[in-house]
Order: sequence, then C-alpha cells, then structure tokens
Amino acid sequence: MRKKVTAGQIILLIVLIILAAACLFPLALVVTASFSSEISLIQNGFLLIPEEWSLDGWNYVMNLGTQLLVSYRNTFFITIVGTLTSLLVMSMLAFVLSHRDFVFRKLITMILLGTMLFSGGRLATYLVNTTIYHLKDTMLILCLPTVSAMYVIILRTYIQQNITDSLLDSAKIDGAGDFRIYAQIVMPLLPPALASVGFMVAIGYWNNWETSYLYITSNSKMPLQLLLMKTEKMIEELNRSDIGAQALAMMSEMLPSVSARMAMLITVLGPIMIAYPFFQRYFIQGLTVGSVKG
Amino acid sequence: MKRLRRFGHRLWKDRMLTLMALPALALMILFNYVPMSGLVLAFKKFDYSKGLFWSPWNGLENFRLLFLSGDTFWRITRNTLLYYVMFTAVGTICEVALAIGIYELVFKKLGKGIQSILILPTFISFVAVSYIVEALLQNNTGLVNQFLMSLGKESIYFYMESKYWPMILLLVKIWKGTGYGSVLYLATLSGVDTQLYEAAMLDGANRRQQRRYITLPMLLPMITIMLLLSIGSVMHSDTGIFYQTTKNIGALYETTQVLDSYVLNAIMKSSNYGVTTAITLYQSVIGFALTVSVNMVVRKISPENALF
Repeated sequence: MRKKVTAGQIILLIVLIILAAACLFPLALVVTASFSSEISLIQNGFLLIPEEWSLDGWNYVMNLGTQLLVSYRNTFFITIVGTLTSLLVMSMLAFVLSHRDFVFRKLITMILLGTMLFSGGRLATYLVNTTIYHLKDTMLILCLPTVSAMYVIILRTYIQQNITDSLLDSAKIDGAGDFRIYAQIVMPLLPPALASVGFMVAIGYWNNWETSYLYITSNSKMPLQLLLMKTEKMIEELNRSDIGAQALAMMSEMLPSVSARMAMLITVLGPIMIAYPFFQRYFIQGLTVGSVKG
Repeated sequence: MKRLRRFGHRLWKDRMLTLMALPALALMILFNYVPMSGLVLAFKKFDYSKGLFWSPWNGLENFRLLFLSGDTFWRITRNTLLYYVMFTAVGTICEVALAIGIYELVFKKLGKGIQSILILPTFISFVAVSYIVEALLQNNTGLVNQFLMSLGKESIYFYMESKYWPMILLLVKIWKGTGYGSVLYLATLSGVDTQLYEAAMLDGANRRQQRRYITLPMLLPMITIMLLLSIGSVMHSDTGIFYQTTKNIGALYETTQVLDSYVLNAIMKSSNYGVTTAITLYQSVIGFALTVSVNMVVRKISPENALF
C-alpha cells in the first residue's frame, strides 16, 4: 500500500506507542510495587519508581511455602487436564460434524447451538451440580471439559478448509476407519487450530475464579485465583474489624504485606505472560477463522 | 420399511462417528441441558431438606416478590442495560479506531508489536485486575490519590462513593477489551483490495476522504454484525468486572450491581433461592428471545454470519 513516511505517520506511531505504554503502565506498577519496601509503600504509596527497593515481598512469597505451592499445583493440574480433555472432546465432535452426510449431523448441531441459545442460569446449574451430581468441593467440577459451540465451529471450519475430501477418500479406500482417520490424518494437521483454541481454553481455566469461589471449600483444592481472593478478603476484614491491637499485630504478621501481595500477583500472571508470545499468532488466526462460519 | 433399512444402514456406517460424538454430547446434556430443569425452582418455594424437585410449588409468588419488592430488581436491570449500551458503544468506537490506526501505520512490524501489547490485558483475570485497580485507587496509598494529594487536593474515597464507578469500570473495560476487539476489524481491513485506495488517490481523494468512503464502508458490515450478535447477550454481563473490580462492596451497588453479580452474590449468601432463580429465568428467557430475533435479522443481511 502507500509507503510514504509522513508527519501524520509519525504522529500516529507516537499515539499508538503512548497507548501501548498506558496499557502496560498498571502492570509495571505492580512489578515495581513488588520490589518496594513496605514502609515506602505505606508512606509514599504506589509509585512507578519506589523510594526504597526491597526484596521483602518476594522473600515472603518464596517462604509462603505450602499453600501457594498447593494452589499452584492445583491451577496447573486444572489447566492442563481441563484443556487437554476439552480439546479432545471438542476436536472429535468437530471432526464428526465436518462430515456432511453424518447421520445425526442436524440433531447434534441443534443440541450444540442450543447451548448458546438458552441456559439454566447460574443458580440452577449450581443447585443441580451440588445436590444431584454432588460436585461441591471436588476437583472434577474445576477441570470439567468445556464444550463451547464457538470453539467447535472454529475447529470444524478448520477441518473442512484444510483437509480435502480426496485425502479422506484415499484413506477410506485404504481401509482406514473413521477413528483412525481422525487420529492419524486429521489430528496431525490440526495443531494450528488446536493451539489457538487451546490457548483460549487454557486461559479460561487459569483465570476461572467463579467456579472455585462457588464450589471449593477446602484449602487443599484451592486454585490460585481463589487464593488471591481469600487473601484480599482477609486483609479487608483486618482493616474493618475492631480487634485488639495485640491480636491485630499478630494477624498482620501472618498476612502478606502490600509488596508481598503484588509479588503473589506476579506469580499468578507470570505463566500467562510467558506463554502469550508463543501462542498469539495462532490465537489471532483462530479469532479470524471463527468469524467465518462454514 | 425401505427408509428404515436405509437409516439402519447409515447408522451402522456412522457407528464410529456417533461414538466419537458421545463424550461431547454427554457433557452438554449433563451440564447444559439438565441444569435447565432446575429453572422450575422459579415457581417453587425452595426447601433444602426436600431438594430441587420436591420443594412445594408456589405459583408466581417468586415473580410477584421480585417485581413488587423494592427497587433492587429495577436497579440491577437498569444497570445491566446501561452498562451494555455504554460498553458496546464506547468499546466499538475504540476498537474500530484502533484497527484503522494500526492498519494505516506504515511501520508494519511496530504495528504488530503494539497490537500484541494491547491484547495482553484480555488475558488477565479479574481477580488480578481488582488488585491492580486497588493499587491505583486505594484511599491513601493509591497512585491516583497520591497524585491528587501532591497537587494539594483532598484524596477521594473511591471505594465508598458509587458515582465514580461507571467511569472506572468503563476504563477497565476499554483497557481490557479494546486490543482484543480490534483484531477482527483489522482482519477485515487486511482483506480490502488495495486497488480501491490507489484508484481513489488517482481521483484525488485525500486521506480523510479515503477513510470515510472506503475504510469505514468496508468495516460497516462487520460492525453491524458484531453489534447485532452482542444484543443476544444483553442480559449477561462479564461477572468479573462487576463483582471483582468493585470488590462487591455494598456502598457501590447503586451504580455497579448488575443481574449476574446480584445472582452470584445471592448464591454465596444463600438468600432466597426461589426469587433468585426467577431472576435467572428472566435473564434466560429474554436472552433467548433476543438471540433468536437478532439471528433472523443477521441471516437476512449476512447469512454466513448467522448462528443457525
């Protein structure tokens, strides 16, 4: 296209850079706060460049030991198991629906789209899950596979566009059954689509606070997001309640300081920030494919 | 008979495919369709000892309570609708503007990098966002109040005054959603034939005219479709932004509580389940009606973007 570098272009670039900086600013604030000394945070508040640097916050996180480690393990477990099972279940369904002559194609497509149209709502779902399926305080409710109509349509479109009928036909002539075609021909061609859908699904599991907030009661099953929420709640209660000075001193010793909370926050955000650059190309592709329905 | 035999034949041929669809089918039925039956609770008086299906019926009592008791119901409906309008209007304008900005930039590599940075906040959970917002708005130590005090002004108790929150939540929403939302528009623009611009330039059209007569009309179908599709989810808001960012503080309910965050709060507090189910039923029914009618419109103007 037009390739002239004009004054307008420079202004546009500067504006965009300022926007990107503004976008990163709150994150930078969290990072520097985690390296601030507690006293300078209390006296001078949050500053981009703290008055006094300190590693206290990070020391606290390193020594936090069990609960943070347990929560970390839980979140990793949930994200990995949830994402892999979701991808397996959804890619199989997408493969099935990519067959135009499949006997239940209409019926299953209707059931799939129906989940987008109507829902039992949060409370009915909660009551059914807890009183009928008894999933309160189980790991199962946290890593239950996601079946999202949007993702299934993205995968199905990808299969239809990238896997030619002649390839499938020749496999059939060679005597391959449907499952073998899925496992040995379709799956090896699917990684770009799986990466884009998988990243979105994984983020969903990693960031999901609501399910654990509603269902999880025991500390041993607490994922990171819930741990962050609980920490926040404890601090609020500490500020609100009118307990004696001695008890307050004891409690605040156990509670993470502001810098420690920010350090904790970084341990939660970190893995996403690290994974993001690797997946973003696929993710942008997936988002664009999803807009075109086959 | 012949048709039955043919069906049987097809069934046998597709037995493996049917088996492969089963896990997803079972999940959808167990966790999407069975919970719908729980909505009967909207017409019942919930009794924990009797459970979901054996609690006694009480007709439309829950709805009567909902519509007549106090303003909460109207307030959360109003907030839900107003936030939808505000988020969608401002959000769309920002997304389109950003997409055009990045599209017109001649420094393509830099543009890609900037886009990646702007998408990043989408992946931050709202629990984390609430920490970040708190770092900015805390009463004494928050960055904004530090700034106000350094100017010699009084600090603002943000977490006690509801009037600031529509603005704060809008900023959070824009920060979190604009980069992500612009991807689709940018993809649409990169599909535009560049010859159009060359022809326009030959005819003496300047930058602004090109934007007005080529770029915007090219984006318009996509904008229309995204707007239409979003109408289907009017009754559902992103619970995180309203429940987490505000830390679910009662003093802020007036301007920040929406249907979804109200329901979540009611479940956690175990307050009247019958009435709460009535609210979720009202959400689902209106959502259903809107999705179906919007889909009919979308199918007319752009069949390939319709849901069904």
